[in-house]
Amino acid sequence: MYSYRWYAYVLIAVNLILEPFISKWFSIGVAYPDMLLILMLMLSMGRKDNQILIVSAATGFVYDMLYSRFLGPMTVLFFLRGLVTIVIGRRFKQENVLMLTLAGFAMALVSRVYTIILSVGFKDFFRAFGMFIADIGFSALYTALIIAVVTTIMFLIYNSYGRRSKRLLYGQNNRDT
Amino acid sequence: MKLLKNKKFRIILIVAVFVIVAILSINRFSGVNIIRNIVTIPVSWIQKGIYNIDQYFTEKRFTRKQYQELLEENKQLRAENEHLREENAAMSFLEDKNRLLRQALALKDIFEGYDIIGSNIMGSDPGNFVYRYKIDIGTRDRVKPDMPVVAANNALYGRVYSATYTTSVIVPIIDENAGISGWISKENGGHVNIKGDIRYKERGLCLIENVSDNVELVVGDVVETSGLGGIYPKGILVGVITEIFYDEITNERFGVLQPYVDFNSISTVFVMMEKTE
Repeated sequence: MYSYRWYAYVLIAVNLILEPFISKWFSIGVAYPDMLLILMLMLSMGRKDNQILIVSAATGFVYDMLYSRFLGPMTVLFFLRGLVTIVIGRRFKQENVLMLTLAGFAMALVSRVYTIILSVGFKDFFRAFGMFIADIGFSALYTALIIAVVTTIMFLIYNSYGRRSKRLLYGQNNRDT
Repeated sequence: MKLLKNKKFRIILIVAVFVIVAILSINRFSGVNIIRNIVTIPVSWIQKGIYNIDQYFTEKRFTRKQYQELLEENKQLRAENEHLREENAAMSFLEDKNRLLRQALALKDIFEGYDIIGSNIMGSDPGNFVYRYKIDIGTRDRVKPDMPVVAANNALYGRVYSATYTTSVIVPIIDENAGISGWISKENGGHVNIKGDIRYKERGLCLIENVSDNVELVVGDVVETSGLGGIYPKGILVGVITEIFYDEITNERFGVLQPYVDFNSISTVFVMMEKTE
């Protein structure tokens, strides 16, 4: 349980349970953050491997079981998110805060569009696009801001306490030394 | 069994199972949806608990917020109420003024031979046994001593005692220096003398004396000016008899008169000036 990933798993589980309350507790106007995306990106700061994919897909599947009309859509979305996270992690340095923030913004934007289309359908989505765009834009911005803050804090922790902090954060030694 | 140990095969198998389950779950009545219960049942219990806690705090916060809003609203309403009260006071002042002027107009109709001039009571001097009221018109306005002064409701107030250029002093009918020739205002009424009396003036009352034997005096009789004496014209209301008593020593009847004028509250009076032509 020293591994940071475990905390992320617990947070994801808690977040799945609290999902109906998040929009109420953390909303600013019409915007509310995509907490699962934030947690997934936090997780990606650790080891970059296929485990992220499995965790993402499993989270999506549980999400589907809890909240979706049918099983599958969020599993696919979360799986794709995991995939993108891995790709970004492989292409950039793992603590690239700016890149994670930008990726977070893009993914939040696409995810919100995807979930709205799932809820209202293509036709209504484009018909009432003006109505949805504020919600989509501000929510993505809000999510990106939180990602920037969280990843910056984690980056500072990572670089403050030497090897032990890395072990606590990532659950392993000498991974990046 | 050998296939199951193959990693690629396992992934394909998982994906295939997932796709089948997903497709089946599109039908709301499919039995596949039962697997949702594995997660939904325990999670719904937890969510219910969280919901209750959330509701508790929401209500608490809402109540506090509502209380603050009510306080704010109350403050606004108080200010508004104060403003309305001020407006209302101003309106009722104007209304009173209007009513007074209407009554004064009526006075002009009743006493055609007189000019009626309104004035404000500037102050009173209820000193030791002496009642004098000062009004804001004087000789400049043609006011002279012994002119009758009435209230707007055609009730006798007194007479002008003295006049300066801009002010005049009024002697009210309750003053012991005031003497009025009255008439019992009923069929077969009769003359009476109305006088201020030191025993009654503190209570705003007058005394009726010199009641001749053939005059029937009853409590509740209205007394008006008789027109005799040269100061007050006939027909100004003076007051109503509230008490009658008999002095056995002098063998005389007396009455106590309650004037129609409330000397404590009145602020506008009218001086009656006889038209000279």
